[in-house]
Formats: sequence, C-alpha cells, structure tokens
Amino acid sequence: MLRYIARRLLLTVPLIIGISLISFLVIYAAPGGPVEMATDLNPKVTAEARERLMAYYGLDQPVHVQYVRWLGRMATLDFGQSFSRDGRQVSEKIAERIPVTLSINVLSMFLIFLVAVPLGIYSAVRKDSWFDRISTVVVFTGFAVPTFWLALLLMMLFGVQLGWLPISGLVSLEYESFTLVGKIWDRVRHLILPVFVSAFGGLAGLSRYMRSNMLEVIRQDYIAAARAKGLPERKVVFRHALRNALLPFITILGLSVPGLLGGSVIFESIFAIPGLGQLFYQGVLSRDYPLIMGSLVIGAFLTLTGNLLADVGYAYADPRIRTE
Amino acid sequence: MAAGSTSMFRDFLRRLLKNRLAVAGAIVVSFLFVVAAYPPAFAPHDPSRIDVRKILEPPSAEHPLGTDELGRDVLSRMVHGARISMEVGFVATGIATVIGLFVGLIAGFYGRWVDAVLMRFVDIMLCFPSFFLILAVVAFLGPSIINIMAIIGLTSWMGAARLVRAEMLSLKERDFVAAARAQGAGDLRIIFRHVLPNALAPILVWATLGVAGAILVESSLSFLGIGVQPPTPSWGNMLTAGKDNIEFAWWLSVYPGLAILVTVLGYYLLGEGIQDAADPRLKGR
Amino acid sequence: MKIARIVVAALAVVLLAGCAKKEKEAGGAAGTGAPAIGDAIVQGSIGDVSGFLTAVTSDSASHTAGGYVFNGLVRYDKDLKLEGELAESWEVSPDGKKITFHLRKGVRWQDGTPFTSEDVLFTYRKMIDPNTPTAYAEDFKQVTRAEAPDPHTFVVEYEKPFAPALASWGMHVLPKHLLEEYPDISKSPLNKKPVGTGPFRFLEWKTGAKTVFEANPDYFEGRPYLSRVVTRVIPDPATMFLELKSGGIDMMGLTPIQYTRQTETEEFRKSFNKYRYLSFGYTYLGFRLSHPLFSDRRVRQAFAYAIHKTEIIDGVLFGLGQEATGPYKPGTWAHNPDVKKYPYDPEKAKALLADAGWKDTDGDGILDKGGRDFAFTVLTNAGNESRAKTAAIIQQNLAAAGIKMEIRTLEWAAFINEFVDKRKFDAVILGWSISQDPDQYDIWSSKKTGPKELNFVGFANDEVDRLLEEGRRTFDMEKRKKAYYRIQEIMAEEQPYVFLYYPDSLPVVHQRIQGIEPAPAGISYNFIKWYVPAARQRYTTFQQ
Repeated sequence: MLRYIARRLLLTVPLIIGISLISFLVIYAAPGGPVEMATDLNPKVTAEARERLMAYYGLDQPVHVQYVRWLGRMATLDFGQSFSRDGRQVSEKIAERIPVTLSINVLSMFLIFLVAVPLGIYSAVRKDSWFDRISTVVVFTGFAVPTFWLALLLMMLFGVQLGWLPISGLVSLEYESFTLVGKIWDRVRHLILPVFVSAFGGLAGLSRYMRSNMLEVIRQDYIAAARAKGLPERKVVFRHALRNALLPFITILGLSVPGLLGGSVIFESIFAIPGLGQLFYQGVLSRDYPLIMGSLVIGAFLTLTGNLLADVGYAYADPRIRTE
Repeated sequence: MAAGSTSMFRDFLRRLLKNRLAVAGAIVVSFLFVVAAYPPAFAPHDPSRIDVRKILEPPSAEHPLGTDELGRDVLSRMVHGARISMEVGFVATGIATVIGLFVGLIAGFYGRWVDAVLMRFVDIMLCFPSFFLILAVVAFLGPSIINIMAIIGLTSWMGAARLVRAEMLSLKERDFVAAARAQGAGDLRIIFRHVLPNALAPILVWATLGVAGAILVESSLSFLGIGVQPPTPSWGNMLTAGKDNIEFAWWLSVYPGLAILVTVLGYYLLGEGIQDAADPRLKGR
Repeated sequence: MKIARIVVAALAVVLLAGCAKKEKEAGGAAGTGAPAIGDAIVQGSIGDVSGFLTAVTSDSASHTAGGYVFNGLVRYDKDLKLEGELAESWEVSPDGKKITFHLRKGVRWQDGTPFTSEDVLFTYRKMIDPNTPTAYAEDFKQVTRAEAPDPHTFVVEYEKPFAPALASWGMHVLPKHLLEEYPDISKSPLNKKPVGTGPFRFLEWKTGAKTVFEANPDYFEGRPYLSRVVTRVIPDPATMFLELKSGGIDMMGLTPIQYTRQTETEEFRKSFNKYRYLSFGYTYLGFRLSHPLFSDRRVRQAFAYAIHKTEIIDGVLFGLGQEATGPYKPGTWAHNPDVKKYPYDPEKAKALLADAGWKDTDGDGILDKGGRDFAFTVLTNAGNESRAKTAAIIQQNLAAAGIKMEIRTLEWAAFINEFVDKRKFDAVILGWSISQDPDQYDIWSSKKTGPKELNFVGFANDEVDRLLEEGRRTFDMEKRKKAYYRIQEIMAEEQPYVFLYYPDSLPVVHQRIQGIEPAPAGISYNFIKWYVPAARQRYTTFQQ
C-alpha cells in the first residue's frame, strides 16, 4: 500500500512542473501590466511615478529569468507579493481563503454523494420506470441550468421573498455576540444556498454515472449467481452491486474537484463569499500576476490532491489495483 | 464491412428514435439550428433598436417577451443570441475535437514515449480547474468572440483525446493495425478507414455534450462580463442585465436563462440518447 | 409523535433565527429625536480596502476608510470651499510662493502621542520619497522648501505660485513616530492597522469581508455620535440591494434604476431616505484630434448636435444626472453656465457635415467623402454598464445622421495600455473624476500630450495653454475664475470631447440615521455629526 502511494506521489512531480510552466506561460502572454491598474487614468500620476512602480514590481527582467525565479519560489510555495495595493504575500492571501472554498466544496461533495448514490441506485434498479425517466430529466436540468441563474433565483426566493436564509457572506454581522450553538447555526444558514448551488450541477453527472455503473455491475455474473442462490434482491443490491459500483464513483468524486473549484468563482461572487474563487476573479480583473499564478497553481495542486486521494481510496478498496 | 455498417446504422437510428427523450432533444437542437440560421424570420423587431421610453417593459402583444434595459425587444435579441450561442458552441467544440483527435491519434498510434508524453500533457491540462484557466486567459487576451471560442476549445479537448486514444489502443490490440499494415495500408488509411469510424459514436456523444458545455461556459463568461460584449446580444450577457434588474424585470432573467437551459438540456438528452443507442451492451436486453 | 416534535422544533429554530435578524422598524418615519451617542452604521461597498494609508492607495474604498482614521491639513466644507482640518488657519504670502500653516494645538494621535508639525514635515518627505509607491507625488514635488519652525507651524515654499498647492495639503498626515523606521510605508503595519488623528479608531479588518471602526472619544472636533462604523464588502450591487432591504446594511450607493424603480414603494420610503446630488465626475466621447475624420472642428460640432444627450441621460441614468457642457461641474465656482450649447439637432448636424464635405453620394445611408464612408470605431472599457449603454445610444443617434460607428469594448488594462497610451484609437468613451481644485493642466495642456500622459486626445490650443498657466499661478479667486470661464468658452467651441453627462450620486441611508444635510459637497462631509436617536438605536451589543 505504501509503495503504491509513493509511486503515485512520484508520478505527480512531472505534473507539478508542467503546471508551473503552463501557468507561467498563460500569464506572461498577457498584454499590459499591473502598473496600469494601480495608476489608471488618474490625473495625478506622472510617467515617472509609473516607471518607479514598474521597477518596483520587477517587471523589467527578461522572461526566462522571471520563470526561473518563479520556479524556485514555487518550490517553497512562495508566490511573492500580490500586485494589489495591499502588497501582502500571495500565499497568505490564498491560505486564508482556501478553508472557505474547501469547506464548501467538501460539503458539496458530501451532498452530491448523499443524493447521487441513492438516486443512481434506484434509477438503475428501476430502470426505465417513471422514476428513472423523471429523475433523468430533473437531474439533467440540474446539469443544464446555469449556476448563476439558479443562485439568483434561489436568493430571491429564499432570501428576499421568504426571508428564511441570509443572502451573502459567511456570517451575520452580529456573529460575535452569538452563543456557540448560535454561531454554528449562523454559519450553517449562510452555507445552505452556496453549497446547494455548488452541488446541483455535479449531481447530474454523478448520479448518471452511479446509475450506469450499477447497471453494469448488476449484469455481472456474480450478481446472477447471488440471485440464483436465492438471496433477497435487496441484499444482492447492497452487498455486491453497491460495493463494486461505488469504487469508481469515489474516483469520479475526486475528479470533480476542478469543476467545483471553477464553479466557485461564480457563486462566491454572487453570494459574496470570501473564498478562493472570488479572490481569483478579482485578481484576474486587476492583472495581479503573482496572485493569479499562485491561485492557478494552488487550484491545480488541490485537483492533484483530490485525484490522489481518490486513487488511494480506490486502491485501498480494491486490492487488484495496488499490484499493477 | 460496408454492408454491416449500414445495418448497424439503421439499428442505431431505430434505437435512437425509440428513446423519446432523445427525440425531444433532437427536436430542440434542430429547431435552434433553424432559428440560428435565419434569425430575421423569427425576430419580430430589430434587436438593436433602442427606445428609451420603453425601458424594461413587461411582456405585451408588441413585445412578447418584454423589453430590456435599453428598450430593445427581448425576443428578437434572444433569437439573434441563439446564433451567437450556436456559433460559440460549435466552433469551440470543433476546435476541441480537432485537437483531441490529433493528440489522441498520435498518442495511440505511435505509442511508447510519444504516448507517455502526450498523456502526461493531458493529465497536466486536466489538473487545472478549467474555468480558472479560461477565465484568466480570456480576461487577459480580451473578450472577443474569437478568443472565447479558441480558449474554450483549447481547454476542453482532453476528453476527446482520451477517447480516440482508447479506440486506437483497442484496435491495435485486436491486431487490426498489424493486419491492415500487412495488407499494405498506409498509416493514414488505417486511421481513416478503421479508427475513426469506430471512434465516431463516442466522439459524437462527447461532442454533443461538449457543445452544451461550451454554451454554458460562454454564458458564464458573459455573465461575469468577460464574454460576449454588449450591445451584441448573447443569452449570457442578457442575463447580466437581468441580474441587475431581477426584482422588477423578471422576464429579462427568466427567458434567456430558460433558453440556455432548454438548449443545453436538448443537447444532453440527444447525447445521452446517442450513447444509449450506440452502446452495444444494451443489445442483450 | 417524536418526529412531529422534532419537525416543529426545527421549524421554530428556523423562524426564530429569521426573526432575530429582521427587526421591524417600530413606528413610522417621523420623529427626529435628539442627538445621542451610540449605534453603528453599516455601509455596503463593492470593493474591499487595499490599505489604509491613502498616499499609497488609489481606490475609493481605501480612501473612504482612510478618511475615518486620518486628517489632512485642510479639507473641503459643505460648499466646496477649503477649510482647515489639522490646520487652524493659514496665510499665503503676497507673492504667492509661500504658505504658512498654523496647526491646531492639543491634537493627539490615537495612541496618545501629540501631533506636531514634525509629522507634517515627515509626510511631505515621504510623499517625495522614491521608496513610497504613491501616485500623488507630483503636487509635492513643486515644493522647494518645507520647514517646521515650531511644533505648531508648518511653512512651505514653491518656486512659482501654485494654486492647487493648498488643496494638495488635504493629503492625510502620517504619524512620524510610527512610520519613521519604515522606508516603504506601504509595507508598514500601519497600512493594515492604521493609527491617525481622525474621528474613528481602527478596530478590525477582515479582508474581503468587512472593516470596523469605533468612535475616537478624544477627537479634536468632538466625539462622533456613532459608536461604530462597519463597511461590508459585497461585490455585487444586486446582492447589496437585497442586503439593504433585509437590514444587513444601512447605507449604499444606488444605481439609477434602483433609485427610480425599486425604491418607490411606501414600505421602502418608511425605512430609508434617498439622497441625490451631482457627482464629481463626467462621461465624455473623446476624439483623437489628429485623426483625419476628427481634425475638422465642424465634424466634432456636428457630433455634438447629432448625439441626443437627453436620450442618454434618460436611458442610462433614468434622468438622474445633468448634461455636461464642459469639464467643470455645474454648481461649482469655476463652472461657466453661458457657453455654447448643442441641443439635439440632427438637421444642423447634417448641415455641418455637408459643409465639411460629407454627403451621401451613393445612397447607402452612410455619408461619404472622396470615396470613403464615414465609419469609425469607438472604444470603451468592458464591465461598465453605463458606458456600454451610452455607446449603444450614440451608435443609434449617429446612424440616423449617416455615420457608422462600431463599438469595441476592451478590458481596462489592455485598453489603457495598448490603445489609449499608444494613441491607437479613433474615439473613446471614458470618464474623468474631477478634483475639487479647478486646475486641469494635466488633461488639457499641450505639454501633456506625450505617451502615457493624460492629454491623450492631443488637444493643443495656445490660448488655453496660457489660461491654464494663469489659473494655477495665482491665488486670486476672481482671476482664476476668469481664466477658467474663458477656457470653457473655448472648449465649447472646439469640442475636443463631446461632453456627455454628469451623473447623480444616489446614496440611500437607513431612516433611523439623522443629521444628514445634503449640500454641494454631497452628504458625507459631516459624517461625524450623524446620529441615531436613543430610542431607535439598533446595534447596542458593544460598549459605548
């Protein structure tokens, strides 16, 4: 088992280098520079002031020098200073945003799991029934619905019309004055809509996947054998089919990390959640090079981690994989 | 081989047509095609005609879907927006398909270290949250329609590459390639005669879902303000205006959003239908 | 049974939680009550603060926040006249080259240290220090000598009389004792945890979420009534508005459509007060004056007649703004109300264009001359809804006059960098925010047409150059006024821009907050005097 993990980890090294290359290329290809944002059409700024800022940010070095410096710093997770006016360390800014985004993503995955698995199973077991047909359409609607549209409609319904849920932020203004239970409940209330919106899209793909997996497993011989043995249908389903169908599902869940991260850009902006997605978007708009590079790389790392965990989990559950 | 494929095709069609959801999807897709091909036939007004006295009017006889924030007819703009969405969807997916085919074929065909390198590259690309990447590049290079098409295409080819490669590998395994070579067929011939036809179905499914995905990405980009720029109408940027006016101009949010939903749904149902119809494993029912 | 009880309990919790948030406002709008200390005001802001030292930031969120904690030597009063803040009074020498500031006595920094002229001297030195990444050094580089002869006097000399100098001393004064060890003040802890002389003390900054300030009981103008100021970051105006209505924030800037269509209900008016005043910025259509299409003045004037400014104000601003006739805000002392105007007149436009040789000879609806159609591209920045709408309306107006205009929106940095700075444009739709001092040398002087400088349209007029110099080299208000009046007359004739509109600022504040008096300067000039009557205070869960 450990050897498997070690091997997997080793495989990620070239991936990491590739990630750094691509992210660097992406940003370097962009025209214009960050100095422009800081001094935009402000009548009080002179050409001198601009050049001072330019040298200050180190943008006058040749490309390869910048890349090598970047690579060296990436190894220590030092993404430099944000180009934005607060000039804080990029790693710091990202680090304080990650827990939020991560927790929402984890909760989403949880929700997806809780809903997609039973949904997929039931659809598979009752294939082509009304339930199957309707849930197909419903689930696909979820996939097809633009996230931001859903977010806004829900916000309007639950936030304004019904007033049940708060519409932005992570905590209420009076958070500090709540009791512990109050604090937990407050956080939960703020997370309900974002997590739901985040999970909604993923539900479709995963429940369909679960369904087709189940279908395939059900058709397997050993299932027929179990049936022949006279085991009740339920036991057949749960004991054998489920376990086998679940395994690839875990992998897919791990693979859904990049999709969830990408989606976070949109709903974090709409729900004013101070997470990685919102930070990235603002960084993109303000051409904050180090921040963008750092976010892209961290996002990629998170994806890698998700994949790794999924693979390890899969290998743990299915010994055949470990010995390949 | 040839005779087999037409009857295979007929079987496929029969199965597809039996699937009511897929048929619904096909109808939606074809309808949108028609609308996108000749918008003036479906648009009652000039989509760019501004009338500041009629800003944000609810649906009426004259404006069946209401007016937008500059008094323009929503229905007409949606019709013209269909064309943009279709264009972006198809071109982007086309680009992705071409790249994916190319990469997958080369990787599968030449194998060994070429394969290893290319697949590593695919893995690397898959590491990035694609929306992050798209967002960054479009924001930097500017939100022109061409840029958007190119970027979406450049970040979504990986699925196709894997599919094609898998197909190539399985063919190689079945000694197809060796046999064809023994018969004296050149590389290209093998590719076009054998690999592509077999890969066609999964690629078609993938591409259908890809178009839907591209439309969603474009509308998300437009919503964030870095997609199709106003005054060119796109369902995504109509929703941005809808968002700002959501409380009293519901039609501006509902209809374009609904259009995206129905379109994407149509493509998905069709894609799923093609998948189910082409999947030989279903034969044994 | 058990399940039912659980469900009821769950429902109860949800409902109670909902109720706790939304306090219903008892009673109607009436009842101004006496000024009382206490309560908090929660403002909504689209952008987050990037730092509290305004010398090294340039966004409005940071400047507003910095203004709670710091003071300048001078500031603008409600009628936009300069008054003293940290300076009690000042004298300008007869030759206009020396200003002597007499500083207030007894002012302390929020950590107790006395404020002296050393701090002002220190601030000046930092402003011109190359290590300080500031965008505002220019005005201070005109200083030839600065001295602090005694702890309450600060003297500054200029090579030539420089009228904008006085206003430049509105820059926030920095505490020497807290910053002198930092060569780059933007990296000092003070940029994140400010300590100033101002009416509010910094309490907390949760990046991306909120900033919190509390009243400074020792403030030299008297303790502000409000005990807390909280600014919440909500990047989306639609969400912010929802927050306003559900009580999450007390104050925000409305968009024109929110002002006209979403806030007219009885219910809304009972809980909120809306204000409206002309803001300090205008939008314009700028021509590249060296472009063959636009070098002829008649063409530019034709544009001014062809563009339906009222339609733009109605369509984009819902009527909440005023037509712009020049680069000075109506209602300010330098504004000249009697310049040549251009009411909507498409016939006159066509006549002028015909004079300039543009006729529709091939019947395609577009004017042409010498075989070339009158077609051009206007650039504007992406993500600005008002400018996008303005462009669309102008496109339609010009089409009616036979001119074909393409619209291209660009991302801001690329726009400025690749097109404006390199002068690669036909025309642009942009805006200026104007400073209180009427000196606009940087925008209109023929010496400021170099790359990256602000006179990017290439305006060069000898008389205007002369008048700009005159205007900035004297402290005599009457003389300055004459110069600026004449400049506006020339601008109106020359139309280097088609001046479009000055939008209104549309703040809305929760009804319980009293003491707001709209004036030419807006409503925030007397922020420290705003209060909530004791009976109506809402946030009481913190110490006074």
